[in-house]
Amino acid sequence: MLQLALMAFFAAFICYFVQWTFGQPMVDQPICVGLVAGIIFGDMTTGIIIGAAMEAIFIGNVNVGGATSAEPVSGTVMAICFVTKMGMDQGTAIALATAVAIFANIIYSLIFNVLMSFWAPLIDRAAATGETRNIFICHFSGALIMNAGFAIPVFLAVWFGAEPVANLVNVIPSTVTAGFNAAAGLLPAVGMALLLRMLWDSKIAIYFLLGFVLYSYLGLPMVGVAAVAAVIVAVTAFRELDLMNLRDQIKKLRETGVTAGTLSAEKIEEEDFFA
Amino acid sequence: MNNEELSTQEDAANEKISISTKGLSSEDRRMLHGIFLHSFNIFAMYCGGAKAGASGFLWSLAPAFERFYPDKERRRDAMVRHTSWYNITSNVGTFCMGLVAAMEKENSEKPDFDTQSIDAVKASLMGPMSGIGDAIFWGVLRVIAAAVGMALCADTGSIIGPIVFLIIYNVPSILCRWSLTVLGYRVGSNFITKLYEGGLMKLITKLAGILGLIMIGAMTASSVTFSTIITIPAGSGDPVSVQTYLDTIFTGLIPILYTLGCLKLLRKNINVTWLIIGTMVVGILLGLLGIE
Repeated sequence: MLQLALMAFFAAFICYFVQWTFGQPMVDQPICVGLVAGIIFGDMTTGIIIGAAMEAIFIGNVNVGGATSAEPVSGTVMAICFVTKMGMDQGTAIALATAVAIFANIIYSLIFNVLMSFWAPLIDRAAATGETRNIFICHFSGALIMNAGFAIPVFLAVWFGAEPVANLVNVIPSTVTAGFNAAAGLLPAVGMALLLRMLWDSKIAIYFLLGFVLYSYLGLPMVGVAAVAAVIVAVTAFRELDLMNLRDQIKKLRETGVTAGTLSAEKIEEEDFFA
Repeated sequence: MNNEELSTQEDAANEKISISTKGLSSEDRRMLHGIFLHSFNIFAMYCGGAKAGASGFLWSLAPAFERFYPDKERRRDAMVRHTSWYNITSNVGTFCMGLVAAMEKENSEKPDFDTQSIDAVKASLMGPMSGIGDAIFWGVLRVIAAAVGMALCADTGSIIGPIVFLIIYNVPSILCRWSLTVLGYRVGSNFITKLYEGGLMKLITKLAGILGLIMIGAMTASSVTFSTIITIPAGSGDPVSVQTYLDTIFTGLIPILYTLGCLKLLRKNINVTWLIIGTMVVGILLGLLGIE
C-alpha cells in the first residue's frame, strides 16, 4: 500500500507543482490530473475518463485568492487509484472521491492561507538584502514545500484508506452502488450552479437556456455551441458599441446646450466652435 | 482648455496604446521578456493570508530592479517597497508588472518621484483586474476549454481531450500574458480609468457573461444526468415509463431544475459543502428507493 500511496503522492505533486510554478496552465484541473495519474497508475484511458467525470463536478470550483470549496486533485488521484488498482466501480469511486475532496480542502486551505504565512518574514529578509538571487531562493524553496504539503492528504488517504475501502467494495449492495451512480450524475449540477453564480445577471440569464437547448434538443457538439455563442457575442458587441457611440453623441450635444432636432448639423458645429 | 487641445491629448493617449515592442529599445525589450518569463512563476509560492504573491511579484520584477537600480542601496529600497500583499489573476497581472516597471523607471530617473503613487496604482489595480481576469479566464475560457475537452474524452478516454483542453486554455492565456506585459509598460496608469469611464469594461463583462452562460447551459445539458426507472402501470397495456413523460415535457427537465435549484441555494449563501453533501444524500436515497 505504501507503494501505491507514494505513486498517488507523486501524481498529485506533479499536478500541483506544474500548476503553481509555471503560470497556472490548469494542470490541476481533474481532466489533466486524470491524464497524469492515469499514466502513473498504468491505465491512461481509465484515468482520463474519470478525470473528465470529475471535471464536470469540479468545474465550478474556482481556485482564486485562496478561497476554494473543494480540492479536486486529491479526489481525482484517489478515484483513479481505487478504480485502476482495486477494481472499484467508477460511480462509487467518483462519489467517494468527492467526499475526500471536501476533506482535503480543509488541509489545503490551512496550508495555503495559514501555514504559508510563516514565509512572510523570510520574504522581508530576502528583500532587505537587495539581491534578487535571495528572492529566487526564498520563492522556490517555499514552492517545493507548499506543493509537497498539498499532496500529503492523498498520500494519507491511499496509505490508510486503500485496504479498508478494498474490503468494503465487496460488501456494498447493488442498490447503494446505484445510489452512488445517481449521486455522481447529479453532482455536476453543483459545479454548474457555482459557475452560474459567478456570471448570473437577470438580463442575460436567458442565454443559459439557449446553451442548454442547443445541446439537448439540437444536439450540437461543444465546438458548435461555442461557435454559435461567438456569433451572438460578436453581434451583441457591434450593437452595444453603436449604442455607446450614440450615447456619447447625445451627451456631447446636451453639453453644448443643444437638443436634437432644433438645429441643423451646421449650426451645431458653429455652436461648438464658439463654445 | 478647448476642444482641440483635448482631442490632441486623446490622440496621444490612443497612440500610446500598443502591444507591439516596435519602437522600444533593445534593453526595454530584454527587460520585458524577463518580466514575462518570470511572471509564470508568480504564484509558485503563495504566501498565505499575509503576503499572497509578494515574493512572486518581487521575482517577476527582478529584471526591472536589476536594470534601473544598479546601485544596491536604491535597489534594496525598491524591493522592500514591494514586499506588500499582491494578488492578481496570474495571466493578466503582467499588466500591473509592466506598469510598475515603467513607474520604477521614472522613479530611478527623477529624484522627486513620489514612490507612494506606485503602491497606490498597484493596490488600485488588484481588485478590478482580478475581477475581470477571473471572470474571463477562470469563468469563461477555462469552461469552454473544459467543455470541449470533456466532450472529446468523457466516453473514450482519449488523450486528445486533455491536450485540447490545455491548448484552448493556454494559447490565449500566454498571448494575453505577453501583450499585457508590453501594454502595461507602454501606457500610463490612466488607461484603466479610461476604460471604466467609457463603459467599455461593463461591455466586456457582459459579453464574457453571455459567452459563459451559453457554454454552461450546454455543459449542464451534457454532464448533469438523471433518469428514472419508475413506471406507472397502465391497465392492461405495457407500463408507462415516467422518464418518457418527463422527456415529453422538456428534455433534461430534472437536470436543469436541479441545477437552478442549486443556484438558488447558493445565492442564499448556503455553503457549497452542504450542497455537495446534500446531493450525495439525494443520490443515494434515489438508489435505495429504487427510483434510479
